[in-house]
Amino acid sequence: MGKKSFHIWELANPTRFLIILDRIMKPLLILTILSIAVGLYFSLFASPEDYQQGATVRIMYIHVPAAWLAMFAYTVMTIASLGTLVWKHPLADVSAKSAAPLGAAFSFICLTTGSFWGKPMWGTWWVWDARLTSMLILFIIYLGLMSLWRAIEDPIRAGKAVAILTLVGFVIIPIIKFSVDWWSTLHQPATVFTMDGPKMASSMLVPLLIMAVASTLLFTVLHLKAMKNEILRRRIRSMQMRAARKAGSGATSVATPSTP
Amino acid sequence: MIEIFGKYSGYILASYGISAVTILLLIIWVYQDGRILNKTLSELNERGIRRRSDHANK
Repeated sequence: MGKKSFHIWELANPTRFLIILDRIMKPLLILTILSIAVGLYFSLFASPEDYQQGATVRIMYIHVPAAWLAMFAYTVMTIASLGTLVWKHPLADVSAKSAAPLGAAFSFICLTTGSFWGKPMWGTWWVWDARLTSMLILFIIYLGLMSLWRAIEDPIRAGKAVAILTLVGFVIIPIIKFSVDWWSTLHQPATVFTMDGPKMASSMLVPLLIMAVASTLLFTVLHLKAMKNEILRRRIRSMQMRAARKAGSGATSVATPSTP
Repeated sequence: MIEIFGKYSGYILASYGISAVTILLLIIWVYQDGRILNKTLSELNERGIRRRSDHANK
């Protein structure tokens, strides 16, 4: 009974978070580099060409994980937004803000590699079909959220405004996922996450999953590092404000006696 | 043109190239941001400006 009870809320302490981060960052970084190296080897050299698409299938190993990560980053932001609005978790908006540029980057990779895959296979760089258009909208949403963060100076107020917009924007995720089922699209339907299991040879599925794990690890490393940066940025901001207040009150106390 | 992936080499290498550059820029941006913030933080500490919790801990 005399034992001090542990509360999960203690993990929300930014200082404690930074200590844990410093401990796990190095092994996580090594794991990420190793998995990317193995993934690239399989994707580029140790996997077969597709009987229809030839070597262009190798684009899939970066295009598909990028698409998953673009949606995963937004899902992380949505959960973080709930954390901001419902539980007022001190790290929630830090997490959401840090994930946005990463999600934007993965959306960009998904869109560009999709174009490079589409040109030789479809005969066009771009088509306004539901899957491509909804992914482009996700990319634009990311840019909008990043702009909103920059537009509002106070991070607490910005966090709340962005959280509301993020929750509204989450509607795009199921639209992207099911666009190929709901509408007639040039983009192929789902081949990995289907009700009947993956419709892909294991010689291609394994490299794809390795690249997906590698990309997720890369996202995790960059997200945690960006979260650390955001915590430091807020500390600096509060220290600078504290210093400015101190200087202001010092100036007032000096000025007051000379006031007639 | 490097032909290691047959007639589609250009498309494949461009895809991997653009992805590599994007991720590299992202890594540089995140780590450079961290370096600048750490530098600013130590400058503030050197000037004797500390967080309220640092004062409270002393």
